[in-house]
Amino acid sequence: MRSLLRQFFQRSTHDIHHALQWLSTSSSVCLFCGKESSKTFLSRASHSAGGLQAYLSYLPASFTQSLCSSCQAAIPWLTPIKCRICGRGITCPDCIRLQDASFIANRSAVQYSSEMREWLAQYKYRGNEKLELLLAQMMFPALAAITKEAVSRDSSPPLSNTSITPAIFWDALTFVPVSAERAEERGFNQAERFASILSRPHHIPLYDLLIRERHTEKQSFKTRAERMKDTRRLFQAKQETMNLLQANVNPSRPIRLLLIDDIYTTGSTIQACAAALHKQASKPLDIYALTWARS
Amino acid sequence: MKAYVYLVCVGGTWSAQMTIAPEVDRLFWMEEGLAEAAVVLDVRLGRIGNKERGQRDAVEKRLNGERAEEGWIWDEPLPLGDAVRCVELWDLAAGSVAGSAVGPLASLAACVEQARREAGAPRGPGKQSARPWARAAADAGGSSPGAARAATRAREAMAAAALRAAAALQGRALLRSEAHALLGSAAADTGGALQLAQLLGWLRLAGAVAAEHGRRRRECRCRRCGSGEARMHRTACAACGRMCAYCSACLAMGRSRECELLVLGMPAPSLPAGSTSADLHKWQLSPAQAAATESALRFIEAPYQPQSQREFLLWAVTGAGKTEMIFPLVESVLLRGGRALIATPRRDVVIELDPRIRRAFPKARVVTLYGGSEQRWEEGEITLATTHQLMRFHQAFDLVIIDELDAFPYHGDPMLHYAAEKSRAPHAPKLLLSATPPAELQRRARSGQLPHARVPVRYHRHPLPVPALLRTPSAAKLLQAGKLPRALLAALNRSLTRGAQLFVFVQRISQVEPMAKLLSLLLKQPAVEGTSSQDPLRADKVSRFRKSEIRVLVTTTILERGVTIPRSDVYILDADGRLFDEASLVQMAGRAGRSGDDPNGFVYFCGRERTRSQLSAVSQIRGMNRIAGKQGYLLQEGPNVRSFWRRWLNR
Repeated sequence: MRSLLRQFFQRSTHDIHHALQWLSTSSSVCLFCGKESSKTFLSRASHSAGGLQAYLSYLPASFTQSLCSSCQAAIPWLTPIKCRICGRGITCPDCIRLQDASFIANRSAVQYSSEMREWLAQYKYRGNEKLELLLAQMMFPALAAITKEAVSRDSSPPLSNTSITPAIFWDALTFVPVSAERAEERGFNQAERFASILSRPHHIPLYDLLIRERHTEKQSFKTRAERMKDTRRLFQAKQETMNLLQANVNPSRPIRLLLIDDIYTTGSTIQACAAALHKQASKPLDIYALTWARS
Repeated sequence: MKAYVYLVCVGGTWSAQMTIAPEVDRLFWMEEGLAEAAVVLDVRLGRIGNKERGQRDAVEKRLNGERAEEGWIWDEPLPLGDAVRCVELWDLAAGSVAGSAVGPLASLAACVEQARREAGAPRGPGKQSARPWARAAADAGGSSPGAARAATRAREAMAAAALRAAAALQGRALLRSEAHALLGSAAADTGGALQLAQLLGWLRLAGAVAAEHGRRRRECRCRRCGSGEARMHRTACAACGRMCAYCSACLAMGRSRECELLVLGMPAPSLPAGSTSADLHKWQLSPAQAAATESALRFIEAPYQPQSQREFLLWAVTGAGKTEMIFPLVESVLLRGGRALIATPRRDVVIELDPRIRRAFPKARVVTLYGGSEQRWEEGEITLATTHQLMRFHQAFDLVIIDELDAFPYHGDPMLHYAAEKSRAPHAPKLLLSATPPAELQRRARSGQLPHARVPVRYHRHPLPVPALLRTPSAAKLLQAGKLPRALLAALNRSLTRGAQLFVFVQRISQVEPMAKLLSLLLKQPAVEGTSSQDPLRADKVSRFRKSEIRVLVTTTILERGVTIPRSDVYILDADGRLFDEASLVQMAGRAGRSGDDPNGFVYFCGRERTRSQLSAVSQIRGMNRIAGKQGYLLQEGPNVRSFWRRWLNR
């Protein structure tokens, strides 16, 4: 009897031990891969290059805490860049071809790798809106980069180069619109959501400036030439909102406008939006683009 | 999406309806032709009566030839959930409306307002107006006989499309986009076809996520996967213009949300009961298989009584030949004109089952469903599916068989249990198959609450190999030290010498490769491989293992079930570890001795200590062997010889 009891006791302590083990493991789940992530996050300092480390210092802390280390390591950050116009990591023929661009430059947060494609698809097509904040936060470092780029190109005198934050520099954020059908089907416009998340912490006013005129086939099924032709006349700027923006900005210099979208491929969408904005504006505009991925 | 609500007055009574295609409803109520075309088909379908009483009365009157005297449609489209709720509220208040002084339009406005309020919509009325439906002028079609004939034909086509949609969607639970994909080009106007079918009670349209009945409106439940408020995620929705909840639990199957349409087809009609005198001989079952199959057959062929227990547990040891045992049951349902479902949590198992089912039922239409399956929208007499796919069904099957019900991810996932239960027609029996039923089911079986049959012996009628317990350090220690205890090494070498294939189970994926390397080194055996759930070459390695090109396969619980290797021995390292519970241990042990040529494989539980899981696993296996002996299912081999050899080998 005693031995039985002892045996029972031993077994139950064993089980309790196991239960404790279960409880003690941290239960933070990576939002992207869904796996339980250990507490050992890849600290930003452990990234190889010092340049990358400085670049990623613009990421909010909540970002690094919602992601497991292997997912963080999978992000192909787009830095340093080679093409100062479109923000690619390689020198690019597109920008040479692109003449009379209506926008000045683009920066993207990441390269559109197969992992990034999967992440965006999770959000955009599957509708996993829990990823929204993280995806938008990934654009924070690129916002800093495009701001720096714009400052260096800016000719208007009053800004001293040292303390320029996005809040001081940009007059407005706006975003590439989706058609009504697409909004109804998807339930949201990812570019608008990104823009709104970027706008709040950086204190840049958000303007809903554009409308998409007609519903086109999904861009991904088209060639470059087809896209260029198609996107012309696709967008229109809203006169009232444009007037409001113009009234709110110092008239002595061009309006500095940052246009947000998810993917930059040939730049035709950004180009068409920028052209539409210029057309409707009575004052000069300096239009830059910030996109989540560069494909 | 948004939907409309409207009122019609038929025979002096007002009723409220919801519509996703208002023009169809106007034609139906106000004009001649559409209802007349539908009534012919409705008689054929004989299905009206699946609607709320108030709505049904009105539809019945219309089908009997009474046109609506008046119709008013609410101008503003409402979020789908609001529209559905609005009609519900109208029906709840139906008695009081008739006698009340407020006009029907005012009561509709009140219903709309209440639905909005319950949904937590911002205050302030939208467009508070309705507009009347024109009743077709008598000469609308009369102007030219040609046009009239064309109109009649168009209406008949609409009714026919609705019937086709209803037939195709029977037993389904699909989101709007899925319903469109399934119907394909069956209807020119899919929305219209769905709407007409719902008007006639041939199917139901509802919000995919909806408030729980009788609860506060804001507590939602996913009607597709059954998940509750905890899995809801609310975001601003451009489709309905509201904060709108979506279900994050079943997101991988397409997004189910408050304003998304869920199309519920009609349930399968009940099946004639009674024996079909299926011929058990042709399936060549062993005596134990035959006995259990007969009792399962009696259960599924019994006449349906609404209160009766519809679950049956078939508790068959590993290697008992469960698949062969379900053939007669499936056949019984097919012979009576029904549809059978075989579902299992694991995709691998579905794919492996597919050719066996097709071989057993060459004349039946078999549909195999898993993520990425090409037969997604097909309909068959036998459906073979992962448990996830069951979310897309609604009371579709006359027999539901859940194989490996204790396997991940089905076990412990309420969403998949809900999906399985929902896929079953109300009259349909549910058959649970397992070698290692969860404790709860075992308890219900023992206490007599759950009808069951046990198959305590393998099809080859030899007893199950009883695991030997071996005291060894943990796998991590072994890897660190780079050597194995003598007893373990000797056992491994004996297994190799006797020509067996070796399963070596470890707990962690990270230990698979190092352990494979270590074993290869110590056993001087190059044909050692490791595989896990993260190995893209898993299927390939398993097939090479089957062909003896790999002699030792180091793996995790991913291969604990579903893999049959003719001559194999099983070594479980860290058998005392927390990832290996009783069921898992029995399953892994069940990989040994599966073929009639080599029924006495060897199983070793290696670990630092004896845990309850190990001891219960051994006693479960012993218990099954004892029952098999008592019932006379075992072949008369010399049990003493066997245990002598075992003792000798384990010295």
